[in-house]
Amino acid sequence: MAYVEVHFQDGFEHDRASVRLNGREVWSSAALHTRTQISYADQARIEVPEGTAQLAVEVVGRGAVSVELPAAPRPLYVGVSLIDGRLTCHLQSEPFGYA
Amino acid sequence: MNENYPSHEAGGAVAEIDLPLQPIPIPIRLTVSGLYQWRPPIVIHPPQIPPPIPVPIPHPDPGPQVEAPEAADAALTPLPPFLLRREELRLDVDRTYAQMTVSGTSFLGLSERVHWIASLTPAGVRRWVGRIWYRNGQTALMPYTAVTVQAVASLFPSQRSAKVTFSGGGATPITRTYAYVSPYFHPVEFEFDRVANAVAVTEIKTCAHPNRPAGLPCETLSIDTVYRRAGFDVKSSGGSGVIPVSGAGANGTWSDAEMHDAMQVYWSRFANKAQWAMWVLFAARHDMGSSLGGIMFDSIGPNHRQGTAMFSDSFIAQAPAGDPAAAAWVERMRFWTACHEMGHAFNLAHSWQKALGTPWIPLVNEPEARSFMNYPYRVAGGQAKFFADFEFRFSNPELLFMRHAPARFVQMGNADWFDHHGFEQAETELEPTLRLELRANRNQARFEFLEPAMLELKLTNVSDEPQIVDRHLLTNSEALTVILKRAGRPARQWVPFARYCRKSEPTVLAPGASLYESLFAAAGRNGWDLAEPGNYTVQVALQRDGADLVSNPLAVRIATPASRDEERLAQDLLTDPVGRILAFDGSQVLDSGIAALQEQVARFPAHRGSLHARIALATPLQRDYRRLAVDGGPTPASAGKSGGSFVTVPARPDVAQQQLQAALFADPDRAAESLGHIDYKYYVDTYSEWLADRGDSATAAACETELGKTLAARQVKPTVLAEIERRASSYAAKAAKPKRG
Repeated sequence: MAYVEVHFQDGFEHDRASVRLNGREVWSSAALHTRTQISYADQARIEVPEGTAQLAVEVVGRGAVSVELPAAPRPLYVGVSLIDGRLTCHLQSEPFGYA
Repeated sequence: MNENYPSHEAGGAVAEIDLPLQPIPIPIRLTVSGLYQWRPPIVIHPPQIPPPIPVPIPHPDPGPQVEAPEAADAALTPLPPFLLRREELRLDVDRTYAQMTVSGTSFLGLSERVHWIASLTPAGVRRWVGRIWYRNGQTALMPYTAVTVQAVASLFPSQRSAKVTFSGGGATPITRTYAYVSPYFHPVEFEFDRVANAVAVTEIKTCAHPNRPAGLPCETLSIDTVYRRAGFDVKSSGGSGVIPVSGAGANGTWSDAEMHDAMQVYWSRFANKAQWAMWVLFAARHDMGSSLGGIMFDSIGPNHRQGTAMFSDSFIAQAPAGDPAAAAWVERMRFWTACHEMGHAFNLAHSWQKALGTPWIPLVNEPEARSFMNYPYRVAGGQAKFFADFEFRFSNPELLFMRHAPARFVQMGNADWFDHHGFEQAETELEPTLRLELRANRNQARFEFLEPAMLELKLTNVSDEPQIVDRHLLTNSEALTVILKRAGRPARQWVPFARYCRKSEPTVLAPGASLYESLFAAAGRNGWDLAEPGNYTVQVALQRDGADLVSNPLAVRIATPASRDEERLAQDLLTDPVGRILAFDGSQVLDSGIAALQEQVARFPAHRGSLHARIALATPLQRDYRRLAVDGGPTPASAGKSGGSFVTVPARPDVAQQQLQAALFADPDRAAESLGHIDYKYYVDTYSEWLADRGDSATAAACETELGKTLAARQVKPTVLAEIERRASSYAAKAAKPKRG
């Protein structure tokens, strides 16, 4: 089955977060925290069915963001960050790299 | 000599002037940038000639004792060297990536120091003028606001000097002549180690890849040279070598802990202290896998930023498909990664992170910077666009930070990682016409446990001209940034429960005049960041007209709990509802917070914290209170749809008066100290006004009179006392007026 990697990147400070796929919670973290020197907090590898899917990320007290995943390409990489108090996300087809 | 790596260019001395050995070009370009030093002249006293021995030799005189001559000698004894003043100057005007900046550090004794920075503009041959826009430390040691620099260049280092005149700020101008020390601003030592299965890249041919800036000089560029151009006198620790793969444990990949252990074993300079030295490890792969190209792994323990690592077997070794020079691309990425991770060890944040974390003052991100600190693949257009413009350098704000920030922010093992990192942004200019002061209304900013820390801001016009400022500039607005730093912990930004967006009310601030505002920084949306026992540093930045005004750092101490009961009560008091109730002067809604404050008053009536609790509990009782009642389910859509309506909670004036009287006048001096002068006056004024509205002008007059006496004893300025006296007189006159039947 194809998968999507959700990468939690900048701006998290011991946050509680969850990921829902088509309304069902598929991943959660009770203490999401960004390592600022690599701009990375955690990642969730989520298997997704064929076709489009609705991915939603919620960070308690900080907001939520949802995105409709296209049917292709897969795998897909979703970067989620908290920037200026706002939850943002972007998609790319290449893996993320950190340094 | 390290045999595992290419040899680097010769030490910094040869780069001191842009002067090759043969032939000598005419004219010779002499530079003056670099480090200078000043010490007070040593006074040599003439030798003490002993008085002639009288003849005959007298016997000891048993008469009255006279002062021993040693006392006079002692007065002539030079002070120990550590008590003498020493000053450093960093002049940055004409070498690589000149920042047109001069900065200085004055040391007095073992602990006192002040750091300042000024931007320069040319004013003649090797002469510059500029305003001091940044101060840090014991700012009383540096009252000046302007500098004039006159440098003397010479082929001979011993003949170089910089004469600096400090002026402005109401102080008598002084001139110092600093002696030249080095073309570099700081020393640093690098030690490179390589794991046996890893590739180390410490130098690169800049033109090996065709995608590069058209004007990029073709050269063999080493990491050492990158940092020399950034202003550091780079040396090698000399202990570089090869580390066995077994150090990474059974899995062959490296965790941060394994690298930290390896650093302690293999780094010849390892020590738990701040030092201008770092360890650089070239390894194959991190536990995190190929997605991690490198990391400044040393963000644990008491001394951060001493060790960094690069992973040669990671995504940085995967050139884009179809790249015309894949091997050169990989080499360049490995070189970029090494310089990038080492930049973190200098406390540089990622280019897009400048405003994140705990920056020293508000920052602006540089997401498109062509800097070692930016990810090439993160900019618009991706890595190809990045490298097309990348000149193997740091951005100007980053260079400003590395060269001119207080050394402890930059030096490895000193300030914690990401703490003070943001200082480097150049737009943080200090407005020299205004001075922002942060203080507490007590001799030392020491607060009892559970006593909300009330601070005060004072904005003073220190120029000779009237200044127009917004009357509400100091209230909780977007312009105000408060940083709270608990000793041993990362700094945090205070986030108030509410920010006020007010219509600007321009007001004229005469020379010497000030605006004041209280600051309840104990709690905010981040929680109670200034409430746990310990030592804190608090500093405020105020943005005005695009410039930032930075206050003095204020040392604050929160005392330890006086009893186990206080500790237990803290669990109920240091909560979000109580923080909101205190911030907004009361609530009729936040029931758990109200109950906690009531318990505090009941169990600790004499505690300073109970002063604040009484006011917060009493204020909503002074008048009828409109409360929104919503009878909704667990997720009400809106108050309207859920049948919400306003209900009126009747005032309880007798209870309010009893509580306010106890809070404000049981011990007025203590109340003024704990609440702060600004808030104490505010509470008494509003209370007396309320009393007068209820027809009790006599008590209102008595309150104002007591307020005046209390603040007079606390040395509050006469204009405030005069205003209080006017109010007291007005209420007294009203009370004396016969009421109409």
